[in-house]
Amino acid sequence: MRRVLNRPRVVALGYLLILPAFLVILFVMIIPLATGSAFSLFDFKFGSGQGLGRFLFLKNFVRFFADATALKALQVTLLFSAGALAGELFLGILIAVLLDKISVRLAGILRAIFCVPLLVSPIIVGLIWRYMYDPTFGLVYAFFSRIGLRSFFGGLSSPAWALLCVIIADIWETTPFILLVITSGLAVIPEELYEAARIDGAGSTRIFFSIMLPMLVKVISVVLVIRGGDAFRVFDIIYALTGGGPANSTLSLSILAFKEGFVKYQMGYAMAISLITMILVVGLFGSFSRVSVRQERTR
Amino acid sequence: MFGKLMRSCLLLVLLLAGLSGAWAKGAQEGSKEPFRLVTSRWAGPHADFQAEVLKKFVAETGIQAKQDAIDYGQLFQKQTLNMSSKTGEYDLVWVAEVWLPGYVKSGYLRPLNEYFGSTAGFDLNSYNPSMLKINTINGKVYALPTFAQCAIVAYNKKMLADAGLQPPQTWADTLKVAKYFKDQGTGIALPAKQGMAAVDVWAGLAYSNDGGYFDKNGKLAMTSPENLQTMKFWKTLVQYSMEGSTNWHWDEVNKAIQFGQAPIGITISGLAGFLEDPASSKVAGNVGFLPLPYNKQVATILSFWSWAVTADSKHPAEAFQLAAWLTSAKVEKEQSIANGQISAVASLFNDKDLVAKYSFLPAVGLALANAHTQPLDENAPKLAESMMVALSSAAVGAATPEAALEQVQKEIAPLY
Repeated sequence: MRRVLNRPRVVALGYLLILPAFLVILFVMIIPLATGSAFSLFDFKFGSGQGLGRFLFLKNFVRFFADATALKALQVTLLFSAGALAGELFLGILIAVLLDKISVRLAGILRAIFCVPLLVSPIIVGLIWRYMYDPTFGLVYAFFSRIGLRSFFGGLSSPAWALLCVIIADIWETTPFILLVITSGLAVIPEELYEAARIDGAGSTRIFFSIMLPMLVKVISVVLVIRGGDAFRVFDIIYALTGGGPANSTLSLSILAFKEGFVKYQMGYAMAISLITMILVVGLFGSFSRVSVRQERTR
Repeated sequence: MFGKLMRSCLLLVLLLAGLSGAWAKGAQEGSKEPFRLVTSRWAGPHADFQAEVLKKFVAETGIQAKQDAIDYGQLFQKQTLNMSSKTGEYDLVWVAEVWLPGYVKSGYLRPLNEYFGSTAGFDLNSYNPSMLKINTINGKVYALPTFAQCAIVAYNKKMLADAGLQPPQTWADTLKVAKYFKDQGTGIALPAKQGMAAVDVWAGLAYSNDGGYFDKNGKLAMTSPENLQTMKFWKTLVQYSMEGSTNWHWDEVNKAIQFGQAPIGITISGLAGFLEDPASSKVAGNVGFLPLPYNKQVATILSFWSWAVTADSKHPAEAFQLAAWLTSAKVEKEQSIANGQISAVASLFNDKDLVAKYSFLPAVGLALANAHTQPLDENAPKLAESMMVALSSAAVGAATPEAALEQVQKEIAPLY
């Protein structure tokens, strides 16, 4: 005889079961976000022992858009995000597609080698590349010296080159993640589509643009949401490599917030910068999650 | 059935909550474990050695002590978070002189005067009077000075001798030496990365040129002729620096000298000991030391660390006893012999054993005769941050020396 559970009790059980997860989100995300938002409305000076300070309402937010250094940090962050994402996606997709074409065993070995940077923490990645870029001790300058382009390469010392150097280090670190996600996306594309395309006379390039890429849109959207948010909030690799210099040419919004909060002790302003960063991340990359959901609903 | 299950779950949760509360209370009340003093300082070779030294304190006094050594970049944040939330986790904190006024103003530290008479063997007069004066606020001493540092010049004696050059003391001599080696493919090693090291060097150079941050009336005077001259000297010196210097901090400069790549460099005295260590240095025994190059008189920026007792320490008397022990002549000499760190104990500057082992001590002593500190007021961090950007901008050519100083003046003058 089948028992029929009373619906309100089932619902209550459901709430009880998700309560632990909700409590974690409440204490780890919602309360800190609310606290930070509250701090951003005050002239809160970290470590002053004088409470929250003067109530400023939205003046910290207005200050951001009048602060030349903050606007420069925004520009640097946008450039970094665009450059890093473009490089990582291009390389990640390229390597995934190439590995898809070779033998499974060899692809597995190569994929494992390519994924080694994923095992290294971002701060250590920064330190590794800091020494790689050093003109006296580093491999990069040694390489450019061999091909006669040493004087052309500015490295971390040049404001014009420093951001590019940071982007390259980030691409090295994060492309493996893209590679793994794209590989999983390629794995679910039905083989029949490729066969049909080949029967119709389509070459590799046509198959890539007409079958692989469209089928990977959802996966790429997920990657853009995850990596885009990470790239926009970049801190550790820049901090380890350049500290935001030279001449603030690699100063990201996160590093600016850190300096305002923990170096200058302007925690209220630092919170405002962090909130603006969060809003920009949601605005720029949130739409990609809707692409993924829309694709799911049209199936 | 379902109702029974729900009731059972709720009862289990309540029981667990009750038991854990009782256990915590019992652990607190029933614990017979002796207390342990905890010190907070930055990590590194000096901290590692000090951790070993602490064992001797434990053996001598029976008071347990342990060290919480963390990365310098996080030290201020961690100390402030602990002391502001009154956790009582730290008994002694290692405080930079620029942090001390803020800590005192926030009520994080305990005045130490009441412990002077009751701590056996303690002698306040043994400390460097300048450092002690900086640690005295409103007539009360808040910290015992210990680890002192200043920028000094280190040069490879053989490289200079082979080039027929004299060790440089003035700005002009230093530029001549730096240019010579730059033309040969190296140059002077400088800590020109956007950061505090560059600010310390520049400020020392400025004071050696009768410049500095403020005029006689206490107003910010970054665009004074002396400061402008100093900034131009800095820019030229960077032009003659080793490739990569604009992304170097003290560690990289010291390594370049240590491995025999840099013929000359501006390093920090706290790391100079490693240049003399035959186990790790390729130039041990071949390094000469001088104060920072000067234009009018020798000067330097002094930075030093001190031990302070936290206001929320549960064992302040024992904490002071530990601070006094760590800064005693005997213990300071032991640490100085081990790693070349400079203490605040005045008598140790001329100690024969130390001078014999660390030839940089006379250079430091000369420099400290006209030592200044970075500004210690609440706007100092903003001034320092603005100077970091200005120095980096001038160094890499992103701004002229005039424009760089004008920007600092424009940004910071309203605060004073």
